[in-house]
Amino acid sequence: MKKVLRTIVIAVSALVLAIGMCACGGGSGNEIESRVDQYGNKIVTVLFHKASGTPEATAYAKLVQEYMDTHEDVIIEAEYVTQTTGVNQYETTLTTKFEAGGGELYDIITYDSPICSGYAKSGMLYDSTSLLGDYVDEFLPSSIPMYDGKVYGLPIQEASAGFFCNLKLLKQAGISAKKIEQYKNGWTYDEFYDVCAKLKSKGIKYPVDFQLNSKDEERRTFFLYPFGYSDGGEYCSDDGKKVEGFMDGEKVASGLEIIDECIKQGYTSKDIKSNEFQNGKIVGMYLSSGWTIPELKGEYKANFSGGYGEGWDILPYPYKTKSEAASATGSWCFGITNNGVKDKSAAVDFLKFLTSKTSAQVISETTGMISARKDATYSDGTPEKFLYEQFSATGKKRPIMPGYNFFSKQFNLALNDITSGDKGSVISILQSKTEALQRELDLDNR
Amino acid sequence: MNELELISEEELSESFEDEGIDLIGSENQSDGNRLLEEQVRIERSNESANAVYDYTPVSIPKNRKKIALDVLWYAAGIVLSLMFVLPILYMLAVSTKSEAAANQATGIMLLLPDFGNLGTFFDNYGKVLTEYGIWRNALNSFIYAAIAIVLNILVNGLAGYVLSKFKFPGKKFFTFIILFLIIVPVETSIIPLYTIVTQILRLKREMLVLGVILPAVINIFNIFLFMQFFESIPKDYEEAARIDGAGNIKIFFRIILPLSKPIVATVAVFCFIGVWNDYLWPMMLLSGYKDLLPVQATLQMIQSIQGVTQGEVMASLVITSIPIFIVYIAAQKYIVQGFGSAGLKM
Amino acid sequence: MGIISLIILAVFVLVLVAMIALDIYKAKKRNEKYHLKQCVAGYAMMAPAVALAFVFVVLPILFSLGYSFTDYNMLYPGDINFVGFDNFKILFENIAGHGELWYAIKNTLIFVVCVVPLQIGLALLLALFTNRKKRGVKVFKICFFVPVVISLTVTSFLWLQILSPEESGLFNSFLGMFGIAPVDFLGNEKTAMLWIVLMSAWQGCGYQMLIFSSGLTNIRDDLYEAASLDGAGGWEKFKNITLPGLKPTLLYITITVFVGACRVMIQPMLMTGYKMHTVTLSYYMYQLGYSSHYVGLSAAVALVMTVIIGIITLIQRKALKEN
Repeated sequence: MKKVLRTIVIAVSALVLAIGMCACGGGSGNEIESRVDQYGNKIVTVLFHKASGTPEATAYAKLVQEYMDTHEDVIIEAEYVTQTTGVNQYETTLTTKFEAGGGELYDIITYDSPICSGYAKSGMLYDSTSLLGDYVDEFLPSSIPMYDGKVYGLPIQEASAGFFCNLKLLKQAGISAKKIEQYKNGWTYDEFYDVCAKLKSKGIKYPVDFQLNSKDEERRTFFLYPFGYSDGGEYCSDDGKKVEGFMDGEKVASGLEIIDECIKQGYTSKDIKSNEFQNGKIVGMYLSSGWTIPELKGEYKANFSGGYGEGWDILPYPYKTKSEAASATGSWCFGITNNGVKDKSAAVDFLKFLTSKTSAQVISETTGMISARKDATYSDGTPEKFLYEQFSATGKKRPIMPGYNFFSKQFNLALNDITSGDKGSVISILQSKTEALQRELDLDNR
Repeated sequence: MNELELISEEELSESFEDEGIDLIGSENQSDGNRLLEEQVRIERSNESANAVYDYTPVSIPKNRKKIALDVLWYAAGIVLSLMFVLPILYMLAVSTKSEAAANQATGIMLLLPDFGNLGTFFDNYGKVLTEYGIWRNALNSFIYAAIAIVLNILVNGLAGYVLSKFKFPGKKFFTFIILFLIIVPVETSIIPLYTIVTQILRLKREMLVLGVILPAVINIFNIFLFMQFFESIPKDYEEAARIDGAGNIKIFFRIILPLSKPIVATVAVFCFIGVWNDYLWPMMLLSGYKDLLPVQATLQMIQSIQGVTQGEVMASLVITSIPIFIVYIAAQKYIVQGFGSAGLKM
Repeated sequence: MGIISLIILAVFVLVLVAMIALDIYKAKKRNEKYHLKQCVAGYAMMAPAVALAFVFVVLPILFSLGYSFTDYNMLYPGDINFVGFDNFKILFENIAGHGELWYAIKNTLIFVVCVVPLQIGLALLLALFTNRKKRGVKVFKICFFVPVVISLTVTSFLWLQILSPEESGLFNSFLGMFGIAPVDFLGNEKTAMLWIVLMSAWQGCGYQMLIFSSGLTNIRDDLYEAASLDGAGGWEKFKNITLPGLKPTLLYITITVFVGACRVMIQPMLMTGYKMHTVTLSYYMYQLGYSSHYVGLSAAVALVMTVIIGIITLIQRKALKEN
């Protein structure tokens, strides 16, 4: 008995001592040459940002399986972790595994394109410029995640957005098909207001829905940041370190005035429920991205008889100055990470497979979003074609700055203030948010 | 030896109860004694509202006012109780319903389980346990809690034993540090703790579990509790054993711990509750390792599963709560003692 | 950083050795003796606790203190610079510019000011209510205590469902019966914090009720009888006997509830996410240090918070003890 007890005590002490040893002997820089299993198969680990079971994750799983079937000496270990409220699981997973080093972090991760700068700066993403070489040229430049002139990954798809409109309601309001055809090639704020006013006068409750009610803050930033560009404004300096003198400028404010104006005139509201446009009754236009296309073709087909071109259509982002027209671009990307594994060849090969034309097609079909590849072909008269053309012509990235998260947060706060309608002029709101944002950005630049 | 132990144990537990934290658990036990006092008192003053005793053998003339007051009291009690229990009933009710049934329910049906479809009554539970694999995480939680409890009692108990019974240089210093650390708020240091575990201890993968368990093992307040309790154990027992040739360790395990069952149980219960209910810290460390996550952390994952129904969410909540309910019911007495000892903190 | 912890360890050991030497010196003066064997056994048995306490309790506190004067970013652990009081300056500017910290402080204040009296009042009410010898008291007590048993995480998720803005949420289906359109309780800037307060008080007050109950049973019954004989009414009895009798309990409860309320974090985190209208100090601290990786700045917030809580606790202790 005594012996047993003594053993327990010794075991506890030993454990504690061992931890103490860990504390002293811990060292970084534990790199491994390449990741292979006991049979010599190469292993590539991938983190996808969608919860398993979602259509998109299923598409990824299919691609992974396909790749493994054709490459017998490679094993792909895929993990599906989604962004959550509370402790953000996706972020936490990346951070803890990155800190652990030694190949713990996934070889390939998916990330939202504007986060690229931050991840690149922290060293989490691997500078893939030379790894990918000419392959990068197969993609449209405005969707390639870059920071400081280097390439840090490849786009999965393109989330180009536009104003989905209910043609039945527009016609009721007296907007002719000819006009709409003309607007499709670009329209001004005044023309936009005119359409809204006509819809409103016909008793349409909400002429336009900017998705201001979205619970997903990044989504709100994504849909609305192009307005800031559309009068020639810029959100930040080229190196992404300065926003004072940029984001608080008059040009950004006059671009974003569209939201203020629509709120003031009652054209839109932050109380519009999601799917109100799809229900086809009280919303005339709806700012959204490619993922709305499958919804309108499927679930809500009955509300838009005639389909694309007859029942519904997509209009581009309006502009204040024609030469500055901007539309939302940039979606999630694949990136190779700096995880302590030296041999990146297997990861690069799989990355190329994931972004190949056929794979992009598989993913596009499930998400409804368009491909970011130059060789993507869409037949005339399809909504995809329209989005693809808009994105090639006017697509402009979200501001490139390592502190993008802070930008998005402050931009959302500014949106909150603008939509509340009683927080002063757009420019004064932007000035206060810019000031706060600059303070946060300076933290990184001390 | 054994006789000695038995007697002292009884004495100790008696003295503990007499100290008079008289709550749910011990109410009935002391009824007998109080009955007598109560009767005497009632005879003295009939009007004292405090002294009304419904089931006293002595018959008291009840006037209408009193009955009305009683009815009012019970009515208020029921209303208040409902306030606290309704959300729980709602949780239980929804956990048995399919999505359609949950959406259709109106009125009182919101709070009643789906008795209409007994066939699918436990479907949500089945899905949560098997398909979402919450049983594995629940098992993790049990394992972490079990390890933490054993180590907690050993580590803190030994320290408390040494500090209360041994004479050695530096004792004052340690005692001072303990008293100091009890006052300092610890929760504000969760981020430094994270940097210590990941960047100084460099724990990885399965080893991160240690990072979850070990901070739950060391509990300065428990050392203090043990110290206080051990000091009240007379030295005679120890000395008798020492004469028999027992060593320090043997004395600790064979005499001190058995004599301290109430405090050991209290510490164990609170340690279990702490580890089982912890969400933030395991989530921060183990997010990347789904198989290692404890059960509270998986609740969040279940919420974000595509197409998860209300019923499944509620079922996962119920499953997570059941062990704690059982512990509370089984260990009522010790929890109440824990409240009492919490007062010592001041 | 490993080196810093080693230095701290060395200092700790040095202080310990010094204290031990001092004790031995004192003992010699008094002609007392330590048994070497007992001493060695004692140290050995304390070693696990000391080691664990050092790593998981002392070190975090010291690091927290140290970090607050550095620009430590979790993503660049190799590059830590001493920045003096810069962090505190940034925090001050944040408050002055009505930044996030300002909201965090405001929300935490709202929470503390609402939840402390509400929870304590409710707990006292329930304790007084159940402080009589009647059939069913125990059942009532158990009912009041049930929410305490389920964890904060479970409670938050449960209430998230109850307050769901969908028509199927409990409250909204209740409102629906009267033909009221669904309300987004937690999305509304004005009501979200209120619901978090209500939920927290609902969840926690059973615990304090039990402590109050034990305090009440310690008040001698004959005091009440004497007061009754003097013709004192219910309120006077409460004021003159119950409250003074409950003073130590009240002191303990006020401080624990207050400190707990200051640390509120899980509820807003799970119920609304990181929103300006519900962010609290702890949550801000967590977000800053963990999600945004600014450990230094977060440690500065922690330090300020610790100092403020400490001071208020001391004041409370003094005020209640003097009364």
